[in-house]
Amino acid sequence: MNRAAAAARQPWYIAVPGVVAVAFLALPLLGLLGQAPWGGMWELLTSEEVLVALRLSLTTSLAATAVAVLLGIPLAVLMTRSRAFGGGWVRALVTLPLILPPVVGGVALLAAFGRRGLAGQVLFEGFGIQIPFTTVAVVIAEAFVAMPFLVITVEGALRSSDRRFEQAAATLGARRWTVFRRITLPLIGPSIAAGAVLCWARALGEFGATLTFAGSFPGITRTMPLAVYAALDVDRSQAIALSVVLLLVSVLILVGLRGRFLTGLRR
Amino acid sequence: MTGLTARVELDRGGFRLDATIDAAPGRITAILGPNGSGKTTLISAIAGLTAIDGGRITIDGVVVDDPDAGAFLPPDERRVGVVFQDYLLFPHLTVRDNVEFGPRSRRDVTGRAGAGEWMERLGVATLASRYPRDLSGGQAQRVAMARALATDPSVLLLDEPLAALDASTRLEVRRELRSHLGGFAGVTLLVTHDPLDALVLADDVVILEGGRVTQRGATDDVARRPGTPYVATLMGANLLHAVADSGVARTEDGVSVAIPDRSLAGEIVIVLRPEAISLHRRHPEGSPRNVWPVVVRELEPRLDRILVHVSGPPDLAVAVTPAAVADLDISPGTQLWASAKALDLDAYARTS
Repeated sequence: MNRAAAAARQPWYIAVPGVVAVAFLALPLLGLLGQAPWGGMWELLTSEEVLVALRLSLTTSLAATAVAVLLGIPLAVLMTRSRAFGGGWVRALVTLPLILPPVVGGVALLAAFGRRGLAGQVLFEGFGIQIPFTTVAVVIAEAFVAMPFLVITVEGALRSSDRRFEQAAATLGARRWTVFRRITLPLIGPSIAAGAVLCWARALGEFGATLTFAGSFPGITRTMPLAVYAALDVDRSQAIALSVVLLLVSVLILVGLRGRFLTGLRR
Repeated sequence: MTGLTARVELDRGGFRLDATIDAAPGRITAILGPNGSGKTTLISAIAGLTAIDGGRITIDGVVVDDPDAGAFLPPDERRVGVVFQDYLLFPHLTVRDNVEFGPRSRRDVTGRAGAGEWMERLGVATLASRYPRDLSGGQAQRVAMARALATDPSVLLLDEPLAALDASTRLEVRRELRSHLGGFAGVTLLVTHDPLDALVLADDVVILEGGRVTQRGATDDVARRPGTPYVATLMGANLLHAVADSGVARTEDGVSVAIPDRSLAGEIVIVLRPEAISLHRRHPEGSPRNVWPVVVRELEPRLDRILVHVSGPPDLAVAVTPAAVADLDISPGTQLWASAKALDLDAYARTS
């Protein structure tokens, strides 16, 4: 062993738990890959059931991301630019869904949009609209749980971006909308992208809130994670195959975001 | 009425800016002052980035800020171009898109042609497709100028336009700046803390100290007749306040000075250039009538000379050659005589 390596050597009380932690994180993934029915994979994944769940997952998660982008960016702007929204309570409200057990989120959504819920009662009695256990409920559940990722990422980027660029644009004759569209948004573009991808990933994996608020009806509310859970009782190999697909998507997202994955959140 | 008329009153947590600036089109007015004198605040107020607390700002006869009348035009509705100290070129846009940003925002089609012209004139047309991060300091400065001028402003504000450049680029850009501004017909305000910028570039100069205007006038006049110790030091001259009576003036600390103009009376200002003062080991014989015993405080090497700071009264800065330092055997604490011929000093009545 050369001298540099010897100097870098860690004591056992760091090295041993560290290696155990790596094994702990890696083992389930290895198990998943080891038990995957590689031979029948294609057949399993192209079955009608899986395709329906896959399509539902994609449409709902993209819709949830769109909702999060359209509402979340303005919210992030308000949080950084308006005194009323700059307070800690807004930030707490935004962060809460990150920590809240998703099943609690689902119950809360029921309490809000259920037939006897705060808003649900008005919708049902006034317009005959019923949200729970519909595809719309899936989008709402995913957006509720995933939006914080976008808002917090974008808010951080806005806070650290130099507002004097906006002032410079104003002196050049740009009105507020032009400044927002041509200066503010492009300057935080990378963070919006990172936030949207994180948000989409979270929406794609949503389980607890969806199950509670939307149920698990094939073709209507049974997204990929719910399909995995449902398949576990019936056909274990199908559950594993679906899990491998979701794992693959996660790895792709991780590679795509690389450094941004963490720095975007930290900023 | 064309040009800029600004009476700016602003309170910023203990700092008060109270300054009046009048500037005519086609002229370059330097606003010269030390750091913290309120120069940048003044620029913000004129550009509309800061609302004033009192006073009134008028550009080409249009009131753009008047708190008493409740009038305020936001920056995008004023015809004011700003070249910021660090340029603030938009990093995600090319040079061309940066320069065309103003005309495009105003949906001004002829303005976009104008943008091309300014890029040609400032020699940045060949950089059109580059991004700001690929520009040198001098290039970025010219792009920032082109961007501000492309909006066809009535008032152009240059905030320390040379401060971000390294020394050699600064010389070059300073030389070019005046010719670049030659094609601009509006009011130019040049904010700087460097007297050289003002001397080389500006027609008029306004001295701002501690939020107040302490002197204003044509650049040459201000340089020749500094009104405050700050300006005198900037211009490299010694300044004595004195009361004159028939050819003899008495300074605040009791030194009497012979002055050439016997008609001067009352409060006057005496300017003594460091080159006009001589130092001697013994009391000099002959014509100089202004001879004062002094003690050397500090030696400050300059490019081709040494500036000897002496304590009197009067306290003076004296320029001597390195050879003279050796001949006189000067070091801090040395007792010498300082002399100046009456004809070598400038004295004029004090105006505030």
